[in-house]
Amino acid sequence: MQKRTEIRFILILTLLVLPVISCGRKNESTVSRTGYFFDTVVTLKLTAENADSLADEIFDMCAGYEDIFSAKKEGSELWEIDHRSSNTLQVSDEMAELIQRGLYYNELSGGAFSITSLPLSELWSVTSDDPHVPEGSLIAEALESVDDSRVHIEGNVLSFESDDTKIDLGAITKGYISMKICGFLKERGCTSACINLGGNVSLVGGREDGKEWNIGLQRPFAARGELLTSVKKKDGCVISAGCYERYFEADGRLYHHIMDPATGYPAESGLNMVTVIGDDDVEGDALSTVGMVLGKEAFTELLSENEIDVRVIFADNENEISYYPE
Amino acid sequence: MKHKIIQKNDILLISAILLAACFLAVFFFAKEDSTEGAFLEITADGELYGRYPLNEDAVIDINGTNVCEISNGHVSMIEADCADKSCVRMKEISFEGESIICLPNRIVLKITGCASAEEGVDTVAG
Amino acid sequence: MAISKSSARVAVLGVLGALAVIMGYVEYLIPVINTAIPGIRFGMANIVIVMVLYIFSYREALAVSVLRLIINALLFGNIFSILFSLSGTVLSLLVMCLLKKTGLFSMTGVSAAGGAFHNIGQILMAWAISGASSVLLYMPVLMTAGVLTGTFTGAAAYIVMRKLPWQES
Repeated sequence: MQKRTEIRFILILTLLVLPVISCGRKNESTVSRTGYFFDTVVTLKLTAENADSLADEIFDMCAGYEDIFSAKKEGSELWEIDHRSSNTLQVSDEMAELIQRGLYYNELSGGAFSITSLPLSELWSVTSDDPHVPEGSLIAEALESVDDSRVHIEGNVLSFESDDTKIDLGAITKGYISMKICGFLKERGCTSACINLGGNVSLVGGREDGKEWNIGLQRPFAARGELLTSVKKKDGCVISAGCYERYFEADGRLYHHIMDPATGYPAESGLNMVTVIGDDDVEGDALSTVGMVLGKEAFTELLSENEIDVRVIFADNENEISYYPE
Repeated sequence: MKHKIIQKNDILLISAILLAACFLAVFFFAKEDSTEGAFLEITADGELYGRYPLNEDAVIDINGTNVCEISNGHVSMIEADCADKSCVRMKEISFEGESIICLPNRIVLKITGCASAEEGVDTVAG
Repeated sequence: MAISKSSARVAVLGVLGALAVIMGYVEYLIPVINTAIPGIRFGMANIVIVMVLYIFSYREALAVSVLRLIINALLFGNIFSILFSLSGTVLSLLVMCLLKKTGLFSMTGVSAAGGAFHNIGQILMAWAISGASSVLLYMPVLMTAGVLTGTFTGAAAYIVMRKLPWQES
């Protein structure tokens, strides 16, 4: 009889042990979702517990940020700022944070990056139904209100030195939001996520199989989906700015949406695209725009002088690739 | 203990199992030809408009503003009433996760459900 | 000389269980060629299991198998491998016991079938867990691999048994 008892003991022990072991089993799932915010497509690919509800929360966050940062949405915080009645305003923490960072990059880039260029971009209206080259006098007029030094932010108090200064955070808003999304995901214990916010790619960890994410770079002026090259990355961001995103052609010339605040015209730097690969989304967003305005030489000089720790991929007007650091 | 290490019955058994494996292989191979499980998912304005199997050629009208086509397991946008028509210019898609987007009309064509391309990228920046 | 004392039996089973674990570990060290599903190997430990099946009965074989699984899990700590191995082991033992009872097959054949069904069980479990029907596509390959490795482990067990003074039950 002892033999059977022994064996039964082993079996019962097994039955007891197994559930305990399987409790430790993680209940992770992977979801892929697509949403539509900021006039562009947002795609999420994330692996976590309750991935589905996390994705819902992220889309809610996006909707919330639209109410703050959308320049087009009437009634958003940014819209109220640009249609203000007083030159001193209270703004939200998020708005204050982003304006502060914007001003920082304005100073860093010597004015190549600007958060007050809205009059200029509205004038050029590259995405309107009837885009055309504006008259020189209108450009000069618009340029007069492009001056970041007229904007001051202290804590949550935003003040302007003149009535016609308008804020445009479009160049760094996506970076800010994707940074917030990744922060949120990390807080919630997610270890693998790939966010694509209208072309800005932001990563948490690597893929669910542990490998690095394989991020393709859009080939400028080619069909969407055709790649120039690709990079492998874990964590951080891959952000591009390029003149192929929004442009119109007139008289055989190409006019794109990245304005050079110094000239009032679209930046002519010999580049089709600047891709910044780094760890800070807002920095990547800002720097990619700076790169497009300054051109490769001035930009790489700026980066090394300020010891900015990023990798950059340039595509010149012939789509030839070059790198920084070399 | 039997005398021999292996007997006739054993050989029959082993052969039977091998044969069953062969049949299964053939069966699966026949099924493989249809890109089973691969679908085109069309989203309009964030809502699911429809799911269409990739192995059936079709021309699909979406909300009267766009027309896409499934042909040979590939999907492309063939007509759109938007201003820039960049969606029509986009390369045809066929791998999991690939997508064609018409921003003005808020239409997203996406491939789901089939094995991803080996060297495929997870997403495209820019 | 048949082992009858229960304590001696338990001791022997313990030793055989340990042996199975060791053989599994040795096998683990050999680089795997075809990693379709985790845990698919030659099944050298099954030599022990088959022997236990023939010397004792299916209960002891089950006990030793489960013992081996637990120890493997504790030592190598992979939750999923337990589920896979368990499903494979249970199914293969079931089949082997039934085939043995018919008396029509020798150790080699029984083990061959056991090997095939071990893998079938694992695939079915992988399918159940992941819900991906594509996993089933591996069935033909793994069935073949299983039946071949099973043949060898069965033959190996036979050779070992012949040298031992134990009687088949």
